Amino acid sequence: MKYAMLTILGAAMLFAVTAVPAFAADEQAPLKIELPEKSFMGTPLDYWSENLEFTYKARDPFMAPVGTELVSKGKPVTSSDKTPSMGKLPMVTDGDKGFQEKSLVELDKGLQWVQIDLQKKHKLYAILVWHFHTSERVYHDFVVRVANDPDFTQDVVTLYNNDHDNSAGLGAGTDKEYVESNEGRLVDGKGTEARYVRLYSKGNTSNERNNYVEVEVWGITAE
Amino acid sequence: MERVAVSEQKRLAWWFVAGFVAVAALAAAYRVPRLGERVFHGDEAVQAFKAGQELYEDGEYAYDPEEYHGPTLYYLTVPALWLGGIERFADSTEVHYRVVPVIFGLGIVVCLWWARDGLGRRATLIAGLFTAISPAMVFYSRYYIQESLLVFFTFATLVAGWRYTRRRNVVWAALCGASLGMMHSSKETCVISYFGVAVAFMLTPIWARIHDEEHPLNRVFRRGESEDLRPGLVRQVAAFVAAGALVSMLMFSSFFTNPQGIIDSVMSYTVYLQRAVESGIHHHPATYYLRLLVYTHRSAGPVFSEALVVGLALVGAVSALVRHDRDNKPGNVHFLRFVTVYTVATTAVYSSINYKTPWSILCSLHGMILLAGAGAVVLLRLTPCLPGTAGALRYAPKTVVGLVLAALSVQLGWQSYLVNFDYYDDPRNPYVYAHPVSGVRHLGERAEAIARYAPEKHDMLIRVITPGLNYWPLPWYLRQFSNVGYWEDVPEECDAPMVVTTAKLAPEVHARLKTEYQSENYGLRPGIRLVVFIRRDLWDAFMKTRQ
Repeated sequence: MKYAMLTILGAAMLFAVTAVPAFAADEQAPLKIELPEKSFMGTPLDYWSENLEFTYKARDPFMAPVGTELVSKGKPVTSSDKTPSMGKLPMVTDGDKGFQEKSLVELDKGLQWVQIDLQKKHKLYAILVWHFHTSERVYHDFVVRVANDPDFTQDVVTLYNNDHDNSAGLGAGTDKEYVESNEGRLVDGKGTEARYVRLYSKGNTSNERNNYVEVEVWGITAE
Repeated sequence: MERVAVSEQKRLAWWFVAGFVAVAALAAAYRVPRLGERVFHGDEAVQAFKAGQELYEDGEYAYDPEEYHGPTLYYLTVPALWLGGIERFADSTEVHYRVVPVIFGLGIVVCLWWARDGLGRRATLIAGLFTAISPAMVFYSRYYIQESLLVFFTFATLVAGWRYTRRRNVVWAALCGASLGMMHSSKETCVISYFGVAVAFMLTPIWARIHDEEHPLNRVFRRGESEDLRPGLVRQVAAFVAAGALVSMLMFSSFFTNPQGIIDSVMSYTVYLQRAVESGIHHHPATYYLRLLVYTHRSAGPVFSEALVVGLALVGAVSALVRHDRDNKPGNVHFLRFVTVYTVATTAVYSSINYKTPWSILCSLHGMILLAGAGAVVLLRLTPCLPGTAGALRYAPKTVVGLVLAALSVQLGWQSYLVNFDYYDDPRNPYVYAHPVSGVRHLGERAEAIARYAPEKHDMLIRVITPGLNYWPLPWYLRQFSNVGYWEDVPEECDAPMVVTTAKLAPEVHARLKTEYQSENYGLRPGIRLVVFIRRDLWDAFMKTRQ
């Protein structure tokens, strides 16, 4: 009986030591995303489509494991366009998400990407992007991929793809196009482990250029 | 001594010719490349339809006093289509049409040759340079609308008239009249240029009298010293009037097959006068044109400015008004005053009319460019030499001013590159006005791709359901299709292999579709979006090739 009691007590302690942290890791909390000021400039897009998602209402809080933090701020940014016509690439992760032109990085026409090096592998839970929310634009062929090498040859995972006709050549996607706003676009990282995040786009409904004011990657350092 | 002077004259002439050829080559380098890259503006597409379909293919063109301006552009497009080997309108491309304004845009530069003694040779080259690289001049020389033709024929009128005052030749008189007629048959706004010319005719002799000078027109109309020249004058005036009337009537009557066109060409002014007053969405303030030229910065993007031209034009204009014709300075003061008065008058009229479109300012801008050439020379001449120095150092201030002007000209050339080859359809470009976005071309390409999988091929039905006429330049990008229908309201039956509608009507159209469709979004113009429904079986067949 005494041994039985000790066994139960030991098992309970073992359970407490191993399971409680596991429960804690699974504990979810809303991400504390700071939204930039809303721009009331421009004309609302007269836009409707089964493929298009409206973002007029505020996004529901996004739940991520406790401990998830912003891991992209100030991290190195590279791009398919080495010399943006406006702004500089580090502005993509500088924390300035404003709709004003001083916050804007403008890349060339056609399919372009920006890539963020998180400098170590992370479990990714959310990727937020604000292209340019001065007016309600739609950016085409928005694709988000993550990988563990800068050339995107290893462990490449596509997290978002709204290129429904494969015009970007990265494979057809079924995600929706969306209207730019101060909410930005939140892409679920699904806990994918990766060091590099690459975001593609191919022009927008106002012109053929590609813009970014900010990209935020939220995650936890991988073991 | 005589030999030295002649030698110097020849050297200068050689330098001028080389410079003139270089300027013309530069104008071509800015105008010719990548002509088809920018999507057709709605107005360009309408004009192409008139020229390519109605006139060239169907042979049924008749002047319309309500819309589309004069017939010159269309008739001058016929040789371009013919030389391009085009048999059907559907086979023509943007380049076949835009080459016409390109040629006349180059013609504006070439015409300067005959104005060189009016402007002065150095001023001619500088004016040629500004004409060659001016963002607005280049932009609308690559735009299939009437503006570059109007500027060309206006300048041709001015130049022929100027040459006539020098030579009193019946040929120049006839050329002047013919150009005047071509102005009339190009665009109804020619009356504003006529007004500018008339004011200059009236004011410049008065100004000459104040300065105690003999105006060139006095020499034309006075009795000759040794012979009575007035019989020649009558013949010359007759040639001027006959050439002008003949050219205008020939064009408006469709080569005398539609005499009503001649009457309509006069009646059209009631329509255009009404439009100028009402203006609608084209209503802009009086300062619109000058602000457009001097400073444009829209949203995030580069600053665009032709202030260099405007500023130098002011210098040129003031100089023309204050200097005397007995001053031993290059150029002819009467010619420069004429251009000054013409430019001020046309700018004032265009600015005072409510209805404004950016291309309308081109005639006035061209006047400013001519004056800017003279202004640059004046500025260099007025820059003093360094006192108390000798040799090259003495000219250091002039060299500095020359280098600053050269640097500003290079910057203007860079702006022109941005305007014409980078921001050519971007609303941040000051000369882009309600321009379609590239989505409309992609829509046409998608229709082509889908047609490959439709049994009817290019005969497949495409329904375009848009309120009003808000679909241009879509007909251009669907010109290969023989079965395109346009509806202003949503019809009961909406099904078709491809249905194009506006975002606003899309839910209603979608509700009436009886089978499955893939929907896509395309921009027509900034703020105006189109939704395209593609029948699911055709979409699936298309996507099999896209994986």
